[in-house]
Amino acid sequence: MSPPTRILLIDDDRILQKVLQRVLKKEGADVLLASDGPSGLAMAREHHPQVVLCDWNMDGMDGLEVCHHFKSDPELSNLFFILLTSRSGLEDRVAGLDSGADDFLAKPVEPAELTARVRSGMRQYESNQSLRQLSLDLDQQRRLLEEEMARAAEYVISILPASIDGPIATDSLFLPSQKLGGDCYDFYWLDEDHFIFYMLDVSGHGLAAALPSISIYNLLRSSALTKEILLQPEKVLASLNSFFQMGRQNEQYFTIWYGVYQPSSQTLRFASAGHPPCLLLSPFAPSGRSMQELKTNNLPIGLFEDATYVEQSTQIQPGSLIYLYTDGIYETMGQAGPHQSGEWTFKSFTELMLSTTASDPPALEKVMAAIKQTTGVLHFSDDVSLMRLSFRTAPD
Amino acid sequence: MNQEPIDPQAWSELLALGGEDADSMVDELIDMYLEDSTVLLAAIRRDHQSNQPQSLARTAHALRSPSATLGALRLAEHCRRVEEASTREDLPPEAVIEELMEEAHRVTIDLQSRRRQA
Repeated sequence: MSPPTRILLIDDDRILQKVLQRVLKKEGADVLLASDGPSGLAMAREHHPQVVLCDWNMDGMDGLEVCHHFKSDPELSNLFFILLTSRSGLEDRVAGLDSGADDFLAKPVEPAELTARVRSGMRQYESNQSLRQLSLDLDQQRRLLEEEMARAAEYVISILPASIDGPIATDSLFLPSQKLGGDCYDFYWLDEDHFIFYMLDVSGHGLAAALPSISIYNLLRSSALTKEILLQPEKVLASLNSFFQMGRQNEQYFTIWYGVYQPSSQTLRFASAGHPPCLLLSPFAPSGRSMQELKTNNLPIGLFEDATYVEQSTQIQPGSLIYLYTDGIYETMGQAGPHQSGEWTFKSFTELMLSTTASDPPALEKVMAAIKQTTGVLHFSDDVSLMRLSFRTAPD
Repeated sequence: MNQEPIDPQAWSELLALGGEDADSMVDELIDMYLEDSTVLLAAIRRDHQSNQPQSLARTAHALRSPSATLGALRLAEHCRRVEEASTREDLPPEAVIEELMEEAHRVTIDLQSRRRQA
């Protein structure tokens, strides 16, 4: 058996209180009486009624003010609040609704209407309660998930390489999105004459995307692939494709851009698979820099077991800059804010990159700030990774 | 409006609310009403004499609500008139207060006669 409806009646007319109490008690309700707003509020906090009936015209705190107090208190705001009123004007109803009243009851009170409104109030209270509980549960789950994602993002950040200086000054930036994408990258000297750098982006979001990207990172850092393979971009991609097929689940795939630079020959060998092109900016000249997009026509890794991969090579002039990035950096349009002027596309991204690096390249944080300013986007919906290699003009 | 101090229809509705033991409820309500109205009527006269429209509006309101509940609709109407005039900071004329007092007197006598003899 469900417990009786608990109703709080706030009215300074004790005769009407008595009469209404009688009507409600006959309906099996548990009735609490208060003769003014402040004692009504105190009683509600102590006894937790589901429905409040409150007179509009009262000395001191009037019904509107009482209603406002109830509705602005998180503990009491879910109660069903009925204003008792002898007023019938539209303006009064508007004022009542604005103060948060859930229903009105005209005086003199008609008993059948009173009980019907209380029953209806009770139904609404109960459905509000279940919605409230549901929303609390969801909120809790969402917070747990966000914490997990934040921890996973911290882990990804912890394995990413720190900036290095030397003949190839390398810098990078990783901005994990709230739901965490599958970005990962690395750069290191394999030996004195070979500099390896790559960036990858696993499809999807969350741990399902982050975990594969970490395992690919580990695979490339381990000795699972021989040095011979690591020096040949097309073989690296083919190996990753066969490896990723074996552990294949969930229709996942990833894009990658992989390069090996040899300072002695100033040659860059590279292969990309579905990844946005790497930007190669030739040395600064009076007319500005010129830009080349480096990519090879390969399918993303993990889509087809029998895919073949090709590589290309290009000469790098001293003083060049190379940018590697994931598509999150220019695919921001769905989220673009009202400040955005014009369209933000891949083309505007590359133009911005060219203009921000006209002379001395600024810090990557400044590049990101310029992107955020241009797009009006404060938070990217996907992970954003950006890597820059500066090839020194005077090699040692 | 009906000439009787207590509107018959309002009264029968009140009795219907009381159900089986309507009599004891009505007795209790009349006792409460007479007790309160004595105090409120004195306050109405005092507020009027001392020219306190704000206080008069509150007092008239306090008498109006229970009067309507017990079916003293004409008295409730008098109260409403005084309340509205006073809310506008207009002290109602002496005659309006006197009419209210006379009606209140009739209501008191009527209710006393309805009070079940103990």
